[in-house]
Amino acid sequence: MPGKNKSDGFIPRYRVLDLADEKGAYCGKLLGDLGADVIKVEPPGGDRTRFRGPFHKNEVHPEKSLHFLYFNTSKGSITLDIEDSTGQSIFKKLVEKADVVVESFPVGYLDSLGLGYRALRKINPRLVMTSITPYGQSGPQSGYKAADINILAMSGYMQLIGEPDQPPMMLGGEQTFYPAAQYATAGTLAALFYRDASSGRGQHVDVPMQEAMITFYHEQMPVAMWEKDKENVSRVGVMDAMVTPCGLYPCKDGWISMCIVTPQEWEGLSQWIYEVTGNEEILKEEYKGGLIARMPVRDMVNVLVIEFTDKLTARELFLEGQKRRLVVMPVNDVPSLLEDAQLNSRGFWVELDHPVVGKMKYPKGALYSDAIGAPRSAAPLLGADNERIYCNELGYSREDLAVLRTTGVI
Amino acid sequence: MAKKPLQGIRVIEFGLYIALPLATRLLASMGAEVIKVETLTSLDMSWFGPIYAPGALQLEYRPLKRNVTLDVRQPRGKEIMEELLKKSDVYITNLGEGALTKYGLTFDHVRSLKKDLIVLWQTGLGSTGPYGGYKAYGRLMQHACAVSTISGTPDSLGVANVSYSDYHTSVFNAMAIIGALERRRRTGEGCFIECPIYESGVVTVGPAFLDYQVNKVIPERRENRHRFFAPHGAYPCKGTDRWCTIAVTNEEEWKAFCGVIGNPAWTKSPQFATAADRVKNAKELDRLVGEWTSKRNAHQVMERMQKAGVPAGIVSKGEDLANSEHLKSHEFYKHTEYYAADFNAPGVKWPVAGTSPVFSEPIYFSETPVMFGPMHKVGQDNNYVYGKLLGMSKEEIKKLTKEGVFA
Repeated sequence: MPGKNKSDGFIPRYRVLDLADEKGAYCGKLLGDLGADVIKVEPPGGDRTRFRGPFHKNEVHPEKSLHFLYFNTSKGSITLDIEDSTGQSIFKKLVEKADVVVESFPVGYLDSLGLGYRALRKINPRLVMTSITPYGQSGPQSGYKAADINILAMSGYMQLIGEPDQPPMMLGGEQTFYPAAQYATAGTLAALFYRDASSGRGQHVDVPMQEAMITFYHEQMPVAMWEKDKENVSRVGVMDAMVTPCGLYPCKDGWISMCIVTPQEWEGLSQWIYEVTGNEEILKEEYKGGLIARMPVRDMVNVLVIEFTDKLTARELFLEGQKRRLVVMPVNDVPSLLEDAQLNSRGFWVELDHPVVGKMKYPKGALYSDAIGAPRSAAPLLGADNERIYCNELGYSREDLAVLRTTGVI
Repeated sequence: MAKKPLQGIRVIEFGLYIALPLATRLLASMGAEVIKVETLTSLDMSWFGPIYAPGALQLEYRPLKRNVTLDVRQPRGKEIMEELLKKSDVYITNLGEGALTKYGLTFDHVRSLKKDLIVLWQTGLGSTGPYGGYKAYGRLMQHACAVSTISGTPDSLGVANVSYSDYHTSVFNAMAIIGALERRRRTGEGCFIECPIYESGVVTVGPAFLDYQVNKVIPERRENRHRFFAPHGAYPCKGTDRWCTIAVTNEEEWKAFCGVIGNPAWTKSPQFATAADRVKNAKELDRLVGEWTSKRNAHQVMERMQKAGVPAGIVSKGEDLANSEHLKSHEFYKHTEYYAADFNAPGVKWPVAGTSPVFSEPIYFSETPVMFGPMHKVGQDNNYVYGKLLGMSKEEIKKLTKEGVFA
């Protein structure tokens, strides 16, 4: 397990104060899952994302938001009203001992409370502050508001999703909440490494979600194509426009996906197709080659490929294709991933117990190593760590705590 | 020049495609010395992209890296690889187990060369288990990771023209390496990490995993509509294939939205009174919103919505990104030279084919800004790496070049 004590974690038990909403909560989760001591700092009524659906058994309740539960594993929770002046001075005390603050407020909000990076740096020059916002801390659009779909659109990613003659489509599952938070985690770790190995000082790490999403499809080179040809890359539907075969193909019992890139892979596939269909057409010399070799004969080749995939099930295509060293992949849905033999054999699903919603399976994460553990705990109850932090660490008495509670500070 | 976070860290990159070189590019932008080990005797298909400017795609992967040619299939090549690894901090590869074993570069062997080496193996579906060693491309991962099954229309999966989870893998790779460096700083220990493309994408399915476990809900493909908010979508605007997205996520934004479109009578209709009503009648609502937006320019729709505090954004095309004053203010795109591949000539002889734009990195450090730099030619750093780092003589380098070890 990571972070059990100071010496054996993947990363040390850095104290992270997590003020981020849905745009940045994944950063705190990653840091926590990797071993940091992450404390979610929530308004007394609970973080806004506790009220984001879906909910456990569809009951709207601050401890039952499945959104909150997913993005807040391995974190603790305290309540604190940072808009209140007492709350602000308490927050500054927390910052004195913190390594990291992660936030995703509208640009300028923390400054307006006297809690911006410049103010906090004076309290703790070793502090790393990480901001995850739609458009970054500066520039003409830094004040723009954005939900997931708006960031997907503004990055240009959305232009590439869906069918060519249909409106651009968003991706399900609010995909823009991941890339920027991942970059922010890498950036935060780099800033901490730099602080601890070299400079002794922290810094501000500013991650714009729009730009993170731009880098997540950059193989399509939207700006290069515009500058070169005054044309725009666009969506192509379920099959790739250049590489053939590449994309989704109908099969006996649904869909199969495959992508043939090298000349060797084409040799392997065309032989297999010939074995199954007996159609010599597929072996033609003009179809041979790698990557874009089949672009001019794309439609012809796809007809022949579909004639073949139609005859086999997704599982047959996947297993036999991989045996032949071809990149053939099944189309999984959510339940099949939870049942997936591969993920289960790897210990990917980790069961975590939560005092209100009970046991559920959560992803361990994308990294496997003896040096890296799994998520340590389910999401915290609101204010679960108030006593630990306020009494044990900051030295408030139980009575002080009661007063802070009645005055609405915590 | 101020010091950079990863200055003094040497990384050996041995692999292909997108996720691996992007990860090390990110490390290089933070100051690491990344040495890309490759051989032109085995062709990297990505040199042919994009078709309108072959070679320009490499700008995404190669800025700031040192490039050496080395054929590890030859005994002397393998020895030199070992010498390089002994002088390095990090080794990252995405080659298959079969190839690595054939070359005599198993992970046990590599780790025995240098005790505190950090080794990252990027795999497809993972190294063990029933599908261990299976091949995978990021593009197909949007299907294997269920993302395409929760996107699109009820009748068809929403597919992105993108190597989907390669990008997630790239940042996980970099994150893991930086974390491992911090761990090594504290403990003196190296480690071995595996990062599969599969799991990198699976985690992005998110709360839907929990929703299925406790509520047996499988996410519906609801086009651009949101399960809890409306209006929410990409609305047609003036021009060809021009769209502006609008997301009204609470009552305040709904009132502001109605104000922007001039409070037409239909906004007072009981079918749109509450968020639940609007979600229920989203199709009709979308039609009415689309009527308003289709008479207007996408940028204007966005600006008017934003002025009133309504989340909105155009569906950017390449031209919008190229012309974005906002991205210009961040100097997000850089222009630099790229080379045209000629597999009959050594990499250092390849001609400059032009200049092309490429993103820098989406992380802005206040004290140690990320770096951007030119792309080196293939083999350009042979003299530096073999001469200066490994101490070989000019004659030896010449000899090994002639023998095809550096090819």
